[in-house]
Amino acid sequence: MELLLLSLTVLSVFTSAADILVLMDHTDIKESHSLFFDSIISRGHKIIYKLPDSQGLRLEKFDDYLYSTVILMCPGEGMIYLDLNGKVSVSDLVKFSDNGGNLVIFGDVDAASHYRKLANDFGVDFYEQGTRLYSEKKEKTIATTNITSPISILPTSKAPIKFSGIGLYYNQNSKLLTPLISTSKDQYVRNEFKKTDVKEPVVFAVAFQGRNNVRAVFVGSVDVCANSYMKDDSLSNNKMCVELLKWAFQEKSVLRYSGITHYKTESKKNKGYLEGEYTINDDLMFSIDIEELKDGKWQEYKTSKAYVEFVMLEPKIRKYLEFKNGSLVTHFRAPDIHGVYQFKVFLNNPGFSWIESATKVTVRPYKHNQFERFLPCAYPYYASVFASMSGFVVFSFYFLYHKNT
Amino acid sequence: MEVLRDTAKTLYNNYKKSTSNRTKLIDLFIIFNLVLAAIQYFYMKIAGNFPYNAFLAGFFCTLGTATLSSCLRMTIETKKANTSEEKAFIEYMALCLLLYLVVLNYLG
Repeated sequence: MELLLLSLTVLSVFTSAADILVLMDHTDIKESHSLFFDSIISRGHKIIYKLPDSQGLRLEKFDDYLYSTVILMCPGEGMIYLDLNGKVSVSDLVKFSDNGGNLVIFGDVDAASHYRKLANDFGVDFYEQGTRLYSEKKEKTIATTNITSPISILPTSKAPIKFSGIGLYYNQNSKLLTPLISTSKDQYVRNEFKKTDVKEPVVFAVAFQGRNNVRAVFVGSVDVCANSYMKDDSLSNNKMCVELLKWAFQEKSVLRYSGITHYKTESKKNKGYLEGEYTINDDLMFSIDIEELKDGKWQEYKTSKAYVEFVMLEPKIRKYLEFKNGSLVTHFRAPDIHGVYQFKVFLNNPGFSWIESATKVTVRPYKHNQFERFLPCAYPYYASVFASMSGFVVFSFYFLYHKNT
Repeated sequence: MEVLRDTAKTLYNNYKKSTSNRTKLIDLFIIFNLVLAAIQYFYMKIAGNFPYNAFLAGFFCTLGTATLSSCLRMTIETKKANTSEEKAFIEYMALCLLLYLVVLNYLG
């Protein structure tokens, strides 16, 4: 019995845990995208390649997800609901994303409806079936330098990106979606079935970051990261694909916060001490540390866009945080209304992780002896009382010691 | 009009002649306190009675000393009371001090 357990533990140590699953249409993709996959493996990840209808394909085992990222390169293959063969369905992938898994989705011109359904769950849609992006010279491959993404996701580059595939619609009102690469001037969308052309700027790569900081990337073509484009040094496909995956795998532009402290400005002895109860009109100091993951190490992150709100049913005070001595600090006066407040910190830099935190404190009203005592508006009354008393002293002196006539 | 002015004049002259210096002193003190009370009342009407305790303390301090002084005047002027002047004055001083004690505590 013990021998069995020991052998099992030894086996589990030796079997390497792959953390990336690649689902592809056909096994040729493994060769035609070898540079792409090599760049991932060189950063220390392990990849498992599977076809969507392979036996025993599962994302989770005993409620534990086996992979941290799923790369979908199978726009043509069907995914149906989970059956005995273990196929993976759209709702499985959405649940995977909800529970912390990252997704990278490469679509194509012939993307099937399940692909569109998956993209719809994130607020993205592929263009109609049969549409394709055409360049100014009426070729099926376009070269564009129009990078609309923030630097936190993709770096700027003068070399163009070659792309041949389908465009994407995305919900422009959503703060969770960021358009990454868009077409240049004079490039248009052609509907092969209806034979119509539409000249409008089209986005073909969109990034998504959910409220739980999971990331998903949607690209309109599988061939963007193919070997033929990655090898070409005059194009920036190589750089873009590598940086995009770095962002999707949560190796880049990841933030975390720690060290939330709040205290009264007067309590110098107890700096760093979390005080729970404040009085109204107290001067409060608030401090938070935000760190960024850079090359595998957490370093302090300087920003001027983080702000803290002092909220009770609605934000009574909102102040931007300043960077001082390694942490972001601010101070303000607690409002005149007593109650239970929350310090809410928000940082919504596009491309970086969302930072939202809430800390609850109580603000109590004055004690009976904390009110102001001698007010300037009552000075006439004080003056008259003392005048009356001094008059009494003078009067009694004269009354007693002066001759009466 | 003439009649009123004449009566006021004779009243004033009689008062100056017939009252002793001491009584005049008491009267002056009473009028001083009443003027202070009037000033406080009009100030309260203008500025509102926010520190109500301060207003009440000041007002009743002045009114109280005015009434106590008038009591002293009555005791000293009329011969019907059997107290001597010293006793009257000591009573007056004690009551005034008591009044000031209460007023000072209520003022703050």
